[in-house]
Amino acid sequence: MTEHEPLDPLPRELADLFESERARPAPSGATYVRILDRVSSTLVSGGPSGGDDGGSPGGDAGPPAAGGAGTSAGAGAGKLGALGSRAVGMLAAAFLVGTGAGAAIHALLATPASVAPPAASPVAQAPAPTTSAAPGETVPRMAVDDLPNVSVTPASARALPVGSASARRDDAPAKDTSLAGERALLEEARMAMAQGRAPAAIVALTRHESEFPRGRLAEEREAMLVQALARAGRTAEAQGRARAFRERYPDSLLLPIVEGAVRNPPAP
Amino acid sequence: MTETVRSSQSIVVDPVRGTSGDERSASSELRAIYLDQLPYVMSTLRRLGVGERDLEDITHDVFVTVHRRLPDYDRARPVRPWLFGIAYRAASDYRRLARHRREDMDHEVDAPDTSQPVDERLDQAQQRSLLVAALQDVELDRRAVLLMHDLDGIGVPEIAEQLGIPLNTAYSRLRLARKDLQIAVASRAPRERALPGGPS
Repeated sequence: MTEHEPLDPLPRELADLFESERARPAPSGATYVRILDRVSSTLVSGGPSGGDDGGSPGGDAGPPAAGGAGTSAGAGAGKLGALGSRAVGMLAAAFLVGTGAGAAIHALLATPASVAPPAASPVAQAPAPTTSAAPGETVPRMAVDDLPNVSVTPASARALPVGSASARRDDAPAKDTSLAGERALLEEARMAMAQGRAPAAIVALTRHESEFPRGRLAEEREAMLVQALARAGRTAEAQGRARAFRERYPDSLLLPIVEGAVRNPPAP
Repeated sequence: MTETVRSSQSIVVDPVRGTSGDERSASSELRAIYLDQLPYVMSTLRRLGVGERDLEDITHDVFVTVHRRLPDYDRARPVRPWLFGIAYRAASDYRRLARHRREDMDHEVDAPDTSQPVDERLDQAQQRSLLVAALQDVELDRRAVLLMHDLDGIGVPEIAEQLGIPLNTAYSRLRLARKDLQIAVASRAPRERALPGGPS
């Protein structure tokens, strides 16, 4: 048996099962909101994360999801989500998490005005099974086992912008930016924040700003810095940083959290 | 030319080819991937054996990792195989815990009514439950190849590259996975309607 031997056609029964699986309904709007809220919180506050190795075991992944499938709120949102509308998802968010947070998440989801709404069955968009890539299709060459440890950006990959969608190319991070160094400093800050040592977090973040003023993780640094300053009671500085953040990253995923930090400063 | 649609404010991620590669903030890019690919990630994790009660936790982990790995992601490449790799690793870690390995997916399975032919008695939801349950009987390494090929439509050579396995191994795993799945489905399906290759 060689790789050139054609595969047998998929048995009809299996093909039917796969087709049903592809038609699986999209998650409810409430699910979209709930997970996104947790992800954005983790990115800023350094809460439990998946780590660099593709994810930690579920039990370590943070607090239980609010409004799980078994709750009345989740069930209600599920019914709404069945309508397949992003607007419904946003309504569900407001309904589930209250006015303040709901508004923030609403803004979070509403910012990209033209982002395609979750399709009723996005999985159904998967291409038909083939034994080879479509003509012209490019395919990742990164082995799964390599994913956690890759620290060098492939030459063909573009560096992430520091700025917003309209960022100019001259905002691109310096080529000699050390991503590992950036990550280490932000991790240091996250740890300090998690331990309630806001001043130590500020030191690490300020050092990041000094060493990587245009680093790839500058956006995360700025968001964390606003939080750390607010938590340290340096309200005016936090508000100033928040304003700058809003101007520089108007469509940031982290913007609601930044605004929340200065609106309701966390307890020191 | 990709099918990616771009507006002045946002970019829709092409599920096969990835993002347009235009410059924008990491969080904006994460959000675009999230909105487009959340169903895919959750479905993939479910198929890889993540239980319903942990699904949101592991999905959260995957997207946090996606954010961290974005600087390393080649935008010219399709996003779904890249996401699958991250989800596969997250699911593998999850499954390493004994308490998760032992988890049964029976809570998702509606026992089929054996009084009728399978086509009549399994509606789509039941079929999905049957498939997800049967997939758990397929070894994870084989299952990954099966899912990537038969559900996601990724070519075997590309799967071999992505998973870092020889091409022949990928083909072998795919054939074995199909056979295993047929047997697993047949064992759950009506005794009067054994699948080809499955137990008669």
